[in-house]
Amino acid sequence: MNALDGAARSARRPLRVIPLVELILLAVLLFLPLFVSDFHTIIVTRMLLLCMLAISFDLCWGFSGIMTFGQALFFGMAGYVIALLANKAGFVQIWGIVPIGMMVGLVVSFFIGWFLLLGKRTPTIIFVALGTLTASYAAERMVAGWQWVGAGNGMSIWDFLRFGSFEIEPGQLFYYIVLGFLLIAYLGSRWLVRSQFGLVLAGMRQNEERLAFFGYRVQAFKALVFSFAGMIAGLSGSLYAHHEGFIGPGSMGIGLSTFAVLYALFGGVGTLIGPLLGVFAIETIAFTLSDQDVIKNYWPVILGIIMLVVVAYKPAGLLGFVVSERERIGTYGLGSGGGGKGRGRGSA
Amino acid sequence: MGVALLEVRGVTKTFGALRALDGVDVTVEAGTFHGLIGPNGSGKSTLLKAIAGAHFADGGSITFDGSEITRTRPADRSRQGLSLKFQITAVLPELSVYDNVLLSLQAHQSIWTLLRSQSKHQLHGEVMDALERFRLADKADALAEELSHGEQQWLEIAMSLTQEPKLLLLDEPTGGMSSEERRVTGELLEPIRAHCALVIVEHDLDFIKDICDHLTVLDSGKVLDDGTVEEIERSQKVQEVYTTRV
Amino acid sequence: MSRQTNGLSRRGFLTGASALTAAGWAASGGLWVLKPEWAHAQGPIKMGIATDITGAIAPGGNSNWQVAQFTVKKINDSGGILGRPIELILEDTASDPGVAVGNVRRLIQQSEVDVVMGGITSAMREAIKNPIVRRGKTLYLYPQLYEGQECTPFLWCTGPTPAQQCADLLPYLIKNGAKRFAMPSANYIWPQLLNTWARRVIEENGGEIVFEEYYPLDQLEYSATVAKIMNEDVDHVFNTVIPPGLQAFTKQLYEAGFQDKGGTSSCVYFDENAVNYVPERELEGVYSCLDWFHTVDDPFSKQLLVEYAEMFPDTKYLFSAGTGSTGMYRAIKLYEQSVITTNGDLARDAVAAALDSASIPEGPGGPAKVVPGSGHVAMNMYIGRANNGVWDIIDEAKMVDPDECGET
Repeated sequence: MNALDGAARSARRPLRVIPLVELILLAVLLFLPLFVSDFHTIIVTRMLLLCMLAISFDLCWGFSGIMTFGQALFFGMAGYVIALLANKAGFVQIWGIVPIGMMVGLVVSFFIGWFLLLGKRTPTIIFVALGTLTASYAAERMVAGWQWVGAGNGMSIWDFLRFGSFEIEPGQLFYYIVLGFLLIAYLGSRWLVRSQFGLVLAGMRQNEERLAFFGYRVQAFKALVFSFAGMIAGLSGSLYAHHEGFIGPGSMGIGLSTFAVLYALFGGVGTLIGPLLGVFAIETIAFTLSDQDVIKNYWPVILGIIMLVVVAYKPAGLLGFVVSERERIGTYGLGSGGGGKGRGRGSA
Repeated sequence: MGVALLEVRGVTKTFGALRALDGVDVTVEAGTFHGLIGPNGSGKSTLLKAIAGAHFADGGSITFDGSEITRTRPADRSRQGLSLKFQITAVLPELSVYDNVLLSLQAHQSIWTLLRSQSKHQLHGEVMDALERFRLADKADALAEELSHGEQQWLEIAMSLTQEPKLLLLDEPTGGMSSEERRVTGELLEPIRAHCALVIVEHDLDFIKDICDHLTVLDSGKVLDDGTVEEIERSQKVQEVYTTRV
Repeated sequence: MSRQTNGLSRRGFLTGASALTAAGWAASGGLWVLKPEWAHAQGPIKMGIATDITGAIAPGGNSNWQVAQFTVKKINDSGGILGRPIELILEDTASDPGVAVGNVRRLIQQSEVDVVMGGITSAMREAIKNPIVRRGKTLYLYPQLYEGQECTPFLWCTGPTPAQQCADLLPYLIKNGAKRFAMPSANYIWPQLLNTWARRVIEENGGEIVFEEYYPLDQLEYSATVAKIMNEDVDHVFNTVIPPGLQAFTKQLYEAGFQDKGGTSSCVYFDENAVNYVPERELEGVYSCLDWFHTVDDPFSKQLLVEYAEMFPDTKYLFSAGTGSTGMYRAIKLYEQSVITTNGDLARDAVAAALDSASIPEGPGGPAKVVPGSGHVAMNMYIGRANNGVWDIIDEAKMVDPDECGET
C-alpha cells in the first residue's frame, strides 16, 4: 500500500456533504415551529411553499437544460383556480384542492411544453426561455384585466382550507402540512433525477445532440420533466393561495417567475437542495432588510447586489461553498464498486 | 460475403455554392471494414454525416439493412442499428466513464423502465465488459473529461458499440493519437468484425490499410476509385490525385 | 407623544422615517409604535394603522397616518378613552397588497392590536380584510371613499359610498346643462361600481352616457379617448382614471382644448391635494363631490384645520377628504364613542355592537352617524368646483344616506 493507492481510494470515496446539508435542514425545519412564534412559523411556511416553486425551476434548468422564466405561471394558475373554487363554489377541502392544483400545473405545463419543446426542430435555450417568459407575462396581463377573477385587485379567499369540517388556519398545522408536501415533492424529484432517467437528463444537459444519436427521444424526456415540474409548481400555488388568503396577478407573472430563477441560482442549481437554501437565504435577507427603515426604499437594490456578487464569485451558488463539483455531478450507475448491493449516489 | 448492408446511391449535398457531394455511390457489405479516404475537402465527412443523419442528403438515396434511411432522424437510425462516433469526441465530460457507457447501453429502454432504474444491475456486467475490452476498467469512476485524448476516443468507440450496431461509422478515430495508441485502437476494433461492419473516415493511410478490407476514394465530392486495399494501392488514378495534390 | 416643534419646520418637509423619529415614534422591528405618555393599569388601548407610507399611494397614506396621530393625540390629551390611553402602532402596507398581507399579519399577531384602521385602495382593502377580520378576528375600519358593496361583518366603512357621491352631484350637473357624459375609467372595481351608480342617476335624470371605457392602471396613452371626447360632443367627463394614468389623461384632455370649448369634468376623489397631481390650469373648473373641503363654512372643521397645522406645520400631507383622512378621523372617533358605550370593554363583539349605532356630533364636514346594520356611515356631502386651486362650495346635502348592504 503506498500513497498513491491511498489517494486513489479517497478519490473514489469523497466526503458527501449534501446528505449532511439535507439532514441538518430537515432537522431545523421539523423543530422550528416549536421554538418560534406563530407569526414566524407563518413566514417560514410561506418560504416552504416558495421552495417548491424553486425546485420546480431547478428540475427544468438545473437538470434538463430547459431555461424557464414561467414557473410562476403554473403556480399562479393553480392558485387562481383554487381561489375560484373557494369563492364561487365554496369548495375548500384540502383533499380536493391539492390534486386539483397539481392537475392544473400538470395540464398547463404539458400544453406549454408541447408547444415549446416538441416540434420538428430542436428549440434553442433562448427560444424556450422567451416562450415561457411570454406565457407568464401574457397570463399576468390577462388576469389583471379580467373582472371575474378580480382583475388588478386579485381575489381574497375568505374561507379557510378545510379537512371535512375542520378548519386549517395558517399556523403550526398548516406549516407541517406544507412541510410534508415539500418533502414528498423533494423526495419525488430526487428519485427522478437519480434514476437512470436522471442519467439521461444529465447527459442531455451536457450534449443534447449526442443523446439523440444514441437513440434517445430527447424532447420526450424534456416534456416529461417540464410537466412534472409544472405539477409541483401547481401543488405549491394551490396551498399558497389558501395560506396567504389572497391571489393576484403578481402570483403568476414574470416577477415571481424570475424569483424562482434567482432562488435556484443563488442557492446552487442542479442540486435540489440548493434552491431550498436559496429561498431561505433570499427571503430571510429580504425580510430583515425591509424592516431596517433606513434602507426601506432601497433594500431590493441591496438584495440584488448580494445576489449578483454570490452568483458571479461562485457560479455554483451558496452550495458551492461546501459541496465539491464531483459530488454535485454524482454517479448514476453502480460504479466499478458495484456488482453487489449498490445504489446510485448523487448530487440530487 | 456479399450482403449489401449499406447502399449509397447518387447522393448529393450542397452547401450554398459548394457542391460537397456530387452523385456518390458506395456499397458496404456486412462483416467488412470499409474505409473512406481522399484529400481534404473531398467530402468524406460530409458523406459520413449524411449516412449517420447528422444532416440529410439533398438528393439520391441511402438504404441501410433494406430500409431507406435518407431522411430518417438519427435517433431512429440508431434504433435500426446504425451508430456514429463523432470526429470531435462527444463523450459526456461531466459524467463518469462508467456512467457514459451505461448511458449508451440503456438507450433503447422505455422511459418507464428508466424511471424505475430497473436495468441498473443487469447492465452492470455489460458495462464492465465493455470497459475492460477497451482498457478503461480501472478508470471507470473517473470523469470522462479526466481521460487522455486517446482514452476518450476509445470510450467513444466503446459507447458506439454498446448498442450492438450492425454498422459503425467512425469519423477520424485516431485523430490526435500517438502511434502506440493508434496500434491499440486497431487491436480494439478487430474483434467487432464478426458482428458489425465498419465505415471509417481517416487521414492516416497506414492505419486504414491495416484494418480495412475495402476502400472508397473520394475527390471533390465524387468517387474517384473503389476496390480492395490492394487494388487501390495499385490504382493509377488514386496515385495521381495523391501526388499532385498536397 | 411630543408635540411637533419648530425644529421640524426649520428642517423643511421631512417625510417617512425621519419625520417619525423627530415626532417621537420608535422603530420596533418594522413597525412604528407611538407610546402614550402615561400608563394605565390595564395597559393602553392598541390601535393599529395599516396604510401606505411608501409606494404609489404614499401621499394618501401619509395623510391618513398624520391625521391618525392628530386624532389620537387629541383623545389622549383629554385623558384617553375612559382614562385609558391609546397606543398607536403603524404598519406600512407599501401600496402592495401582496406585501401588505404579511405586514398586517404582524400587526395582528405580534402587536395584538384591538382594532385596525386603514387601507386606501380597494385592492388593499380586499387583501388585508382577510388577515384582519377573518384570520385575525379583529375589528377593521376602512376610511376611504370606495365603490360600496363591502358588507363583511366587523368591517366598517367610514368614507363616502357611490350613493353619497352621486346623489347630489350628477343631478346638479344635468340641471346646469350637461347632457352627454363620458366615463373614462381605470380598470378596477371602484370605477366599475361607481359608474353603475352614476349611470343610473344620470339616466334617471335625463342624461345620456356617450361611452364608458376602462384602461389598465399603468396606461399613459389617452389620445384615442380624448379624440372621442372631443369629437362626440361630450358635455361632461365623469373621470375615474387614477395616477399614474390620471396626469397623462388630464394633460391630454386639456391640450385638446376640452375646457376651452365649454366641456366640464368631475373627479370625485379630487380634494385639496389635487393641485399636487394636476397643474392648476388643468384643474380649473373641475367638479368634485366629497364629505369635506377646507372651504366648508363649519367652525369645528376650521378649528380642526388650525390644530392640525399646529401639529404638522407646513406639511405636504393634508387633512383632506380625498385621501381618506376624514374617514380616518371619523373611524377613530366612532371607535372612541363605542368603547365609551361598552364602558371600556374592548372585546370585538361588544365594540361591534356599540359601533353599529355610534355617532359623533361633529367632525370634518359635520357630524357622522353609523347606519345600523349597514356597516356604513351617513355624513354631509359637498359639491366643490376648483377655482384657482381652491374649492368653491357649490352645493351641500346633509346626512346623506350611504345606501349600502341591504338597509334602505
